[in-house]
Amino acid sequence: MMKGTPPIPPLGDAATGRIERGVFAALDARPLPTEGARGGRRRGFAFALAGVAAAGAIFAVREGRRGEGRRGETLPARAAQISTTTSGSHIAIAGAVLDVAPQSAVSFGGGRDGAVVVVLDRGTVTCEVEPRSKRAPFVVEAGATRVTVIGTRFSVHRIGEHATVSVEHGLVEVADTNMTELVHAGERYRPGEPITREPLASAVPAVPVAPVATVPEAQPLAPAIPVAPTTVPTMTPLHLPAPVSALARQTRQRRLALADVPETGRPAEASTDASREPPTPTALTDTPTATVTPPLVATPAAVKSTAEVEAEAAARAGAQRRSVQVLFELAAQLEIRDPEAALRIYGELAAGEDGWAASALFAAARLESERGQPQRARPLCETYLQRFPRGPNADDARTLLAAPR
Amino acid sequence: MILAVQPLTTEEAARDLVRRCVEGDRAAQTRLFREEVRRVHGLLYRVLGPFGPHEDLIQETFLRVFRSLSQFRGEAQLSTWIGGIALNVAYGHLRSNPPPTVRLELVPDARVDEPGAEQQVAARQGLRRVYQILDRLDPRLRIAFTLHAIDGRPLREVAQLMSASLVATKARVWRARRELDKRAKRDPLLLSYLDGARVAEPEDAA
Repeated sequence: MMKGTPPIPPLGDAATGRIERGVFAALDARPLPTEGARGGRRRGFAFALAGVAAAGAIFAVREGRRGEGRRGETLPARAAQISTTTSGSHIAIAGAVLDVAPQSAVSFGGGRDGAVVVVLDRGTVTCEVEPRSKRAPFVVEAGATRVTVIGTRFSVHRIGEHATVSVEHGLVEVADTNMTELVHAGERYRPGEPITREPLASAVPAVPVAPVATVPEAQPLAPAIPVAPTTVPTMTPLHLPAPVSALARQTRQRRLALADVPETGRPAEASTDASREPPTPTALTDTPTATVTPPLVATPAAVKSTAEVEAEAAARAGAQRRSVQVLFELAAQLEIRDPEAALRIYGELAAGEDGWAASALFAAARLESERGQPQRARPLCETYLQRFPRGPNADDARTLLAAPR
Repeated sequence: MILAVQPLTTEEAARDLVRRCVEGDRAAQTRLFREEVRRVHGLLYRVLGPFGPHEDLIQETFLRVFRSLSQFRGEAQLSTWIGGIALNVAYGHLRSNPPPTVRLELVPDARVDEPGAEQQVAARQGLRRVYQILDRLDPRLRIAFTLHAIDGRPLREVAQLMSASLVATKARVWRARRELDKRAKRDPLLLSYLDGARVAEPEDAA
């Protein structure tokens, strides 16, 4: 038996009730063959009654489902609630700072595994959350949309029973009806649409970040800083797998970009265009009057011991590895739906020099081969064998190379 | 609110319940449903993973159970007989519904030793990867593997549930595992998950 296999989530009472009603409604509609159920007019009458019962049951099931959606079976017990009217509010809780926009309502409570759960009943909340690598999850729920935070700054804007989610930096996992998606820095999730990733510069208007109306004295790090009007740079598209020389050129840039990753965030987009400015972490809005709270992780200690510095470096390296792993997983998921995007991500990862680079490089070759592009797969295999002659997929690469053209 | 029900302790009680269900006694049918629904849910969940129309399949299972209960001869335990029907339903579903191109549905939280969000996400993604591989397998291999290797059921029980011989069941589990290992060689994410996940295999009842 596999260790770490999650326990089977219990079937809730509501779901059990739904299934039970469905089973017996269907049985009523077509009863089991019994001695007493035979007979002309009597059977017709029974069917009529069963039809009415089935219709009633179906109606009850549908109403039950609607009601469930409204009530949210998994909502935690709410410990506190905050509603804003014409001005927003600024709150610090459990390793997070929340900006609650005007005309919004949020409540707080606990969830499973000691998670901190923020329920957005209406409006918009912008959250700045400390990295959660060793802490219980931080979750924002807005209707059917559930955002699990890994350490980031992001906004959630509730629209009916769903929400849009904009991630400024870091990484969140958004769960909505029947889907889950990782949303990275500079990306936005919108409900009811195919999952698309687009830079914040595309100015999706659904996330109005209200000016912070009140900044309490207990603000944990630094006061709000006025931000000058700024233009958010467009996200650079990821690069396709390139020949060896280009990969080698990109390696240094990639390492530099990875070094800039704040905690668990995705690496800043590398660009060969030196004039392009890096993404501005404070640019959720370009309104001149906007105020933005600096990231919680932005205050280095004045003096640090060697051990602290080493620990910090180790933590940062770990966060980078996890980011790379998340990217690799994303590419694997995209292989069928969007192979070009998968190849771009593999190309990004292949520019590194760690184990993931080798895996990504071979994955790109394999994917090209699987999609009937052996002429593209071959140079990738050759690159792989040059860079990682004893890599875990070296034999596979040789096999691909030896395959008939 | 679902009321608690007394377990079916004796064969006598089970036979009596079956008889009343066949006669159309709604109270007996309700009791049987509530007694077995969680077991059926667990079985389907293990086979299909966190994806799939579980509620629909549970409903389909019980409709088949009630419609064929008159054929129950008591040669196996009632719960085993119902489990076999659930596996037939799952098999039919897997056969007639090829997996979607991309699986991004929510995988419920995994229970891990540390409550960190990152570990939970990693565990969910690893398991998601396993089921992605299983999606490509023959449903019979998948069912045998999930019940034995993931759910920890002895091979003999799996064979009984699948109405297959012990040898055939062993072969199915072995073929599924070989495929998974083969994929893991090329997939570091899957490999790291399996490395962390593998422990002693359940005892083979052979």
